[in-house]
Amino acid sequence: MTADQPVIAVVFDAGAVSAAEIAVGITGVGQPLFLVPDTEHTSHLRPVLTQLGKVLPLTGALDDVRREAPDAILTFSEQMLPATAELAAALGLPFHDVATVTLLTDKQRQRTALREAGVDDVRQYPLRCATDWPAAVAAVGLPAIIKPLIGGGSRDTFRVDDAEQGQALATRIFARSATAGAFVVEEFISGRPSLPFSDLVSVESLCGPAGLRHLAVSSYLPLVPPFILTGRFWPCHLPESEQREIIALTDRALTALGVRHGVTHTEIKLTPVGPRIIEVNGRMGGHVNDIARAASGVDMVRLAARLAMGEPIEVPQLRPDRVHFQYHTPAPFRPARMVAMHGAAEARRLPGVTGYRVFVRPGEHLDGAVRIREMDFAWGACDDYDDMHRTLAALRRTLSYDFEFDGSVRRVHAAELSGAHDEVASGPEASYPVTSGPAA
Amino acid sequence: MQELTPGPADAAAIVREILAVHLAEPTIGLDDDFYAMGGDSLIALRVVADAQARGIEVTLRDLLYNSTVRALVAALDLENAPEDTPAKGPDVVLLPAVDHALLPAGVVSALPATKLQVGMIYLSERSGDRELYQSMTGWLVPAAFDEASFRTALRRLIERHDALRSSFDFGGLSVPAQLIWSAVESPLTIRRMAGATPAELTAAAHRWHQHDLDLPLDYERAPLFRCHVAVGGDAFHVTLVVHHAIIDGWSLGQVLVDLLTLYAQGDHASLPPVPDGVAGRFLESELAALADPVTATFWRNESNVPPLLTGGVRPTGVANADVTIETALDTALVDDLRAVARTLELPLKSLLFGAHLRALGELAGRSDDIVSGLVVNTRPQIAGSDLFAGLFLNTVPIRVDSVRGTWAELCRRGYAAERRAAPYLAYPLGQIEVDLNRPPFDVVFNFTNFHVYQQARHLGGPAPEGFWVRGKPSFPFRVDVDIDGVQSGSRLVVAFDPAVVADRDARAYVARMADALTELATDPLAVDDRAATSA
Repeated sequence: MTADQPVIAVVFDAGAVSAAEIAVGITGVGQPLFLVPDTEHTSHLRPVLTQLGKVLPLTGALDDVRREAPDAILTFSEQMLPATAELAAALGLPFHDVATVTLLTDKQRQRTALREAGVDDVRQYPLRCATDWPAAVAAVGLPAIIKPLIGGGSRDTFRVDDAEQGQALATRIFARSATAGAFVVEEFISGRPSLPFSDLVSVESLCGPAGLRHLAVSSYLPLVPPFILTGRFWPCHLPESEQREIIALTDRALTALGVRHGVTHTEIKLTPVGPRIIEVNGRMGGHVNDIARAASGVDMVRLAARLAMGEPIEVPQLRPDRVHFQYHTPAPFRPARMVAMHGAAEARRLPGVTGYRVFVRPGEHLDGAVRIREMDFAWGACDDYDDMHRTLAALRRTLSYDFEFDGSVRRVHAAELSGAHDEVASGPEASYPVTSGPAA
Repeated sequence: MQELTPGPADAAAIVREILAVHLAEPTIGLDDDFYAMGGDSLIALRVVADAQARGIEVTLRDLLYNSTVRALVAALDLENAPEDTPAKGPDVVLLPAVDHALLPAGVVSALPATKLQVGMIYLSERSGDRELYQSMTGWLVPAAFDEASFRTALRRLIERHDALRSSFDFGGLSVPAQLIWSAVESPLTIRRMAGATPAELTAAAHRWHQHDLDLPLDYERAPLFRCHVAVGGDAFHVTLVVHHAIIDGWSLGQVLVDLLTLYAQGDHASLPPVPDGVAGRFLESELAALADPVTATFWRNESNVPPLLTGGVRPTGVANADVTIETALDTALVDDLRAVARTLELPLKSLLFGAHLRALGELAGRSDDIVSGLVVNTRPQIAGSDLFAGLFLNTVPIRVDSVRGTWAELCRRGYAAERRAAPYLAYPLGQIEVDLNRPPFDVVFNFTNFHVYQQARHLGGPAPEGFWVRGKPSFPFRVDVDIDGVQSGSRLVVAFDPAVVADRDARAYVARMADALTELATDPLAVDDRAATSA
């Protein structure tokens, strides 16, 4: 690390990219200064962070940060967006401004802004306590979804098809913890039939001195109900004309939200009447940097760092020669302790699979519905979409986990956790209801 | 203190040992990616602490930046190496240490040549056939020629791809080697033809490459490629001639797209970086395959059946497949085949290969134990390896025990045979031939999907047109199926040596293959009656 390199302040917490990816990505652009909140994640990773750059507490005096004279500031973490925007404003560095971050993180205000700008009109009603439910369902209608007012990543997001079920769910959410944050009830946007793919797509965008630039449209593997992502792939399977329509919608949404400087991840549903906005997030999508590097050698962290430095960014043409995919096995819906996992070495040897990592270690407790967690991460490249589906099916057959549910240990196959029930061999082991929904 | 620091080979062994422990894997290869094997930054911390304890000066950053053992050791070596050490690049660790000091000035990296490269150069020297293994491609641009921009684009292209700055050394070092030079003379020639029409430019380009063949590329002199531009008033024609030993068909397409991008976008062109270590990774897998007795036995078993066409006579000299028969495959047929492929859950390639196997069986009058050569891709599966220009293919015998039954059964059988062979593809054809003491097959099938060329349409500026590709292999009977070629669409091309295969037999094959594709597209579950009666 040399003194003459620009200092890039990274407000760091669990997020879309790892500390290692940040360090590798910003090499050549600047040196990292990690500003960290006091969380379990950052204390766990402190030994890594201190070897990669200077580390300062986020809650410390602004003067300490000023003394480091950062040349740029950015974050890859959804929950760090407000703090980063405030710091950027105080330091006079470019980032999403505070008002925009409010629109990017508060889903109700975001909907209002999009409605007022004529981008989309989705019925919505705040849910601050369980007794708000009747008014909410009257305003929004059914089917509806209940999701946290603030946050991303499909966490605590539920689909509701009848009013009674909704009331029960609302009661449970607020009974779970007195400090449960605010929720919002939103009209459920029905997608069009899209199998063997998902009806969800997303767009990564960069906004800076050169204006709005869109990097790529990501396609997804079918979701596990209610809204659990199991993977993404590039290039997008949709025709170019439809991708242009998706990008035009993203452009309008970002303009409506006043995005002028920063990175965004926009989720869009494909519906019978055209693409519609699910939500806009003010940071990079999870694992997008991995797929961009694998598919096209483009480092998204580097692009984001150059953008934070105030450079005009022209996004490179992405040229995935093959179909690049990422796959996750979702954790079970019921609370469980992971006892063992099987098939990692075999999974790595499957044709088309490049790598496989496990995020959950044996002995770890998974808390079920409260927080849906990716248990692992496989990635690779195939000749075409059909070949990808064959590879994924092979992966789901290869991977399995031993979980302890209520004191007894059962083997569960990835196919079952991923909702690929047709791939699951029938038998007593495979019929344990681990994915029957969050209402348990 | 200096003598206590482990050398690169020792360091690699120590790091592999430490990684194996922390990643709980029995062995870690030189090119296994730390993350792909399950690593994360906390595991990296433990690996670095252990490596430091064993005398390797490595930091967490080193490991995170260089996630394979080869890259890591090369990075450490590079930092510690004396300034006058000529060799660098991660693959140089594969070259015996004794050779490092012998590399000529101007060589920035070197690695042992693969068996495939050695074999290609040997055959092209031995045959005296100047066309053999010279890959050629060309295209026309309907716009005025900007010489300064073109020269800059070509210079950047050569800087980007090691292959375009390489030559071979077959005597000066302890092993045959590919040398990468820091710079090479410009391979560009320009012919100005004021007022020439596009057709005249293309004709001139073809005349040029005919003439050029009189001056074959010399494998000992870099660069092993040439570029010729014929310039008319408002159009120009570009021709590239490249020695096949440095570049395969995919890479030729990639190099062409890179050149077009660099020319069309000038200083604004931002090509994604080419990864390091791709060539070395292939070399390693070739060496591992050669050392593995299971692999040798597998190929002996796959090819140990009587040859189909040549009666087992080992041809003297190199085949001269200079007669070609070309048949267009219409778009509707290809679409139907794609639909059938989806239904059968097979790759399109496997349908065409199945049809080929049956047509071949009929040509040879045999329904059992059919062996065909198949051109396979051996490009290492690492991020961005598609961007790396190199020679990553092999031609291997694929054996099916019978071509009877329905089309679907036959295509599945071919697909299964190919999948079965997948772990062994790095074993070079030349060695299979040595083990068997004869060629393992006399017919070769190659399937190419030209989608890389489609990128050339989206670069901005006047779209290049009239792409053509040409190359001559050394097999007596070769079948090429091209899908979605930019200029000629989808087609079936048979190239054969009339001294080995009779013209009427080649034509019978083409007719049968065309019928087979139509039948397969119409009713994949039908039992082919001709195959049934010949049984």
